[in-house]
Amino acid sequence: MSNQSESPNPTSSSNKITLKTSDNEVFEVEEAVAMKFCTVKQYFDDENNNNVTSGTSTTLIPLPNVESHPLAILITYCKKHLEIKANNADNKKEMEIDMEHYEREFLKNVMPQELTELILAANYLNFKEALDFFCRAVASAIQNKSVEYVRKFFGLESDFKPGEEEKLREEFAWSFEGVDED
Amino acid sequence: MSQTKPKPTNNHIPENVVFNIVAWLPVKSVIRFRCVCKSWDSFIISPYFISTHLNNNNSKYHGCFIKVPDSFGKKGKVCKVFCDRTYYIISEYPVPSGFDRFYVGSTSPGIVGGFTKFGKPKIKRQYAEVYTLSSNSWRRVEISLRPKVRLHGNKRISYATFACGALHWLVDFIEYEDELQCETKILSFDVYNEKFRDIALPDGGRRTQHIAVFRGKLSFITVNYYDRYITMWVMEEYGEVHESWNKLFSLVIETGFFYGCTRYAGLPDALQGNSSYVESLVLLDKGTELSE
Repeated sequence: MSNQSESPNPTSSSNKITLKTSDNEVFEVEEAVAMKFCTVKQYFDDENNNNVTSGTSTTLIPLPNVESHPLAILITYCKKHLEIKANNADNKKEMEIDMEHYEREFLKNVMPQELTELILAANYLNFKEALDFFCRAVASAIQNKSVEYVRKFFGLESDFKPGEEEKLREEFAWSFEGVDED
Repeated sequence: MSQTKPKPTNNHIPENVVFNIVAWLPVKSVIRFRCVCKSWDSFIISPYFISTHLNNNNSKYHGCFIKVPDSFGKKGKVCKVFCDRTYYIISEYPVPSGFDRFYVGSTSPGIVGGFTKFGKPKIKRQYAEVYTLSSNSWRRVEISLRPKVRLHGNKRISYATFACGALHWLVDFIEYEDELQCETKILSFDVYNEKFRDIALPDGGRRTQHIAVFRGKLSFITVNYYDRYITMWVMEEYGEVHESWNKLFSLVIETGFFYGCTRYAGLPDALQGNSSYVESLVLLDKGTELSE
């Protein structure tokens, strides 16, 4: 085995899968990437079970709930994820370090509004690693924020009866110390 | 497939995702955000959220410790629960009366604490009272194991070890009326389903025994004070069978006291005689563990 075969090779013989977004953009991705999206995998499995698959190596899968912008970012993230995994197949710790490094860099290029978009796309595609990562990112962005900020962020309103919220605030007063200004 | 689709919140972040986000927050933020709205308050104090939060944060360090008042059993005394390192008070709760022993355990996120007191072993029915931080109340839970239970430790206050979602105590299961005829086991209390069960020990010898958490797993330690060495077993598959105990090592120690394991190194400073700070375990028999 040569060294070359160990690095991810985009022109390898693996099947391509075509994803079509809600804004009618078409993405051709490797099967390994598409299979990280459980929703796509599920679709694929259903097709196979129904014996619908033809002999062609390209399958088109419509994604009516995903726009092209977040999908492009998710595909990049996924490819990198697979690459880091392949490069550190026998060293879990190294893999985690590489992944952390990549994720830190990744977040520098993501706007807060984009994060919500990415979360929704990752959730729809059921791409667990990405969803966990984005959720952690949101968590670290809001951890020092006020209750009011968080309500606004999630589009929620207080539905406590008068006095209920004050009681909680009083009981856990320590948790309201040192909160960032909105 | 559409059945599993989550209901979107106002700005369309589905509830399961909101849950996921909140489960990654530190304890302090989680507690503050109970005030966001009713549905947040109720999912945050649910057992499912608490166990998810615990799993997510297991690798980070979150813990709480409990300060017990000096003169115990008198009326009007309170126990204080602190967040580790920040020393924020999470809760205060009254010390119940009518028991001559008091055993305290804690779950690490500090959202729910399983604080139990046990009835005297002479009492026909064994039960524990569980104090829940989130509801600020005591509830009685029966121990559904047949033999009588006597907890280890000859001080009035002892601690429980929290691992794998359950509190653990070393106990003697007393058969018949003869208190000397007993079998030492671990009594566990699952904080998720509130069930007691017992776990057999790998070595029932007569040496001093401890339970601790070692790298997130339940471990059992015997200390031979005379020859000054300790032996440690770890339960690889939690709650499975007796064979799941794996003997890790025997180690010569400097001093004769074992307090617990640190989350990272496994063996604490306590073994060097410096018992001022111990992670993962709640120490209650002195008041001095509060300073680092």
